[in-house]
Amino acid sequence: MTVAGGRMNYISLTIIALAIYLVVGFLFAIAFIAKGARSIDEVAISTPLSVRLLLIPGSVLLWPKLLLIWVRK
Amino acid sequence: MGLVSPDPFPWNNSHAPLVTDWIQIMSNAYRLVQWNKHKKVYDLTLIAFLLVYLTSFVGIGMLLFPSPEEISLPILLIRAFGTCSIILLHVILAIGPLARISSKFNPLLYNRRHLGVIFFFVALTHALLVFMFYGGFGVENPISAVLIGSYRSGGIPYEYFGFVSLLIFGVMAATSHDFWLKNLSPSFWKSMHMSVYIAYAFVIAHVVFGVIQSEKNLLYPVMISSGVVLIASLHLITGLREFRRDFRFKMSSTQSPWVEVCTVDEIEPNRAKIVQIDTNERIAIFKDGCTLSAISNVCAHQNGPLGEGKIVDGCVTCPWHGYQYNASNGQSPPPFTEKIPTYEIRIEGNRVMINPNANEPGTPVKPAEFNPIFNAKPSEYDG
Ligand code: HEM
Ligand code: FES
Repeated sequence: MTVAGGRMNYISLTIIALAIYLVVGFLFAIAFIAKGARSIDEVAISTPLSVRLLLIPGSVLLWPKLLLIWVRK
Repeated sequence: MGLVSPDPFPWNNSHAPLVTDWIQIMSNAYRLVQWNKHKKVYDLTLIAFLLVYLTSFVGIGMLLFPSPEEISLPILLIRAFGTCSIILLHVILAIGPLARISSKFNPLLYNRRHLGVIFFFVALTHALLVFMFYGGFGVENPISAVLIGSYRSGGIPYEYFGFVSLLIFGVMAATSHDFWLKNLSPSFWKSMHMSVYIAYAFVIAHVVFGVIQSEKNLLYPVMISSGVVLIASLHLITGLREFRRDFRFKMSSTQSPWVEVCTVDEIEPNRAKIVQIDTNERIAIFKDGCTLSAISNVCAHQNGPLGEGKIVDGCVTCPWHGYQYNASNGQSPPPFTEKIPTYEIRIEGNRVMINPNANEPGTPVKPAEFNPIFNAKPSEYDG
């Protein structure tokens, strides 16, 4: 349990951190699809919701960057 | 010849329009997927290849190893999707340099985006099958079974390498829509392009360490190393070509930049002669009254051949859609704002000399004057 346990904890922590990042990203993505995408890009204003759903994976993964762009607008 | 002749072969345009042009021209709203006939053929061919590959891999595997104790069906599927994704990855990485070596490969480049997304889903299926299988299809927490389990059993945890590369490919697939192309910064895209090669290195490590631990067959090491050699040499060849070209260009520009390109009387009044120095951009030399000016031959609108156009109302007019430029500074007359590169030009006797180092788009250059009595065909100026 000494060495192996230490490594195991390290890996578990990384996985938990990753999971938190993705959950926050998912919540952000909902707001981004609803509002954010349209306020940073005027082409997205006339883009239907069905197409904007396609932006979810990217928003989940890149939410810190998008948040910055959105806040600066 | 008409003043503004429409482009007879729009599909034959060797310079693809800029991506940003597509976004603006094609729509004022984003589309789900931009499909046309060629792209559909491309995608259908790709999917047919996948189906044939996967079924024959599993079929042949079951024939060669009939007893499930040797290789079970899930393992065969994991391997079929794993090898399929690595083949697709090699095709993706080879297309870029191949298209730079010969334009014959351009059709492959055409829909590389769909190829990339499909590749990601094949690799994702491989990984999901691994998680399900080693998690005993729900018996154990699959994440700890795969990612923590390999540490417990010792050996190199090659699954991590696969995991990291899958993450990188995931970001690329998720950002492949036009929206991201427009809204993420150039520095993001630059680091994204670099990280494909990092991900590629991780995939190679994943396969090499995975196979070393589980297979004694030599086929895998031979195939994977030929793949790496192929990709590396393709990139080396194109890299070297471009390096040599830049070097030659630098040499010629540190010696004397001026290059003799033609004689004054070769150019018709109000028309241009198109010249190309080494492999640089083409240059159009226009004759306007008793002056010559040199500008880029490439129109800022959709890369039309300016040198095939005419001077109309004192402006160079593109033969494709009629965009106009002032020959002495490469700028469109107000209110338009297009700019193209200009070139220094001078006349020695009857010889026209050009400095092939392009100026910034829109830079004013003093036109070179010539004496019509000495420099032009007598018929041109006898009125
Ligand atoms: C989370 C990500 C991944 C995990 C957990 C994972 C896991 C595995 C495992 C356990 C094997 C051995 C299968 C066996 O028992 O034969 C394997 C093999 C392989 N993987 Fe992955 N992998 C991942 C991602 C990838 C990616 C992204 C690629 C390629 C782009 C890839 C390509 C391959 C290949 C070519 C093999 C060799 C096939 C074989 O063993 O016959 N894997 N992977
Ligand atoms: S390419 Fe359209 S005007 Fe020149």
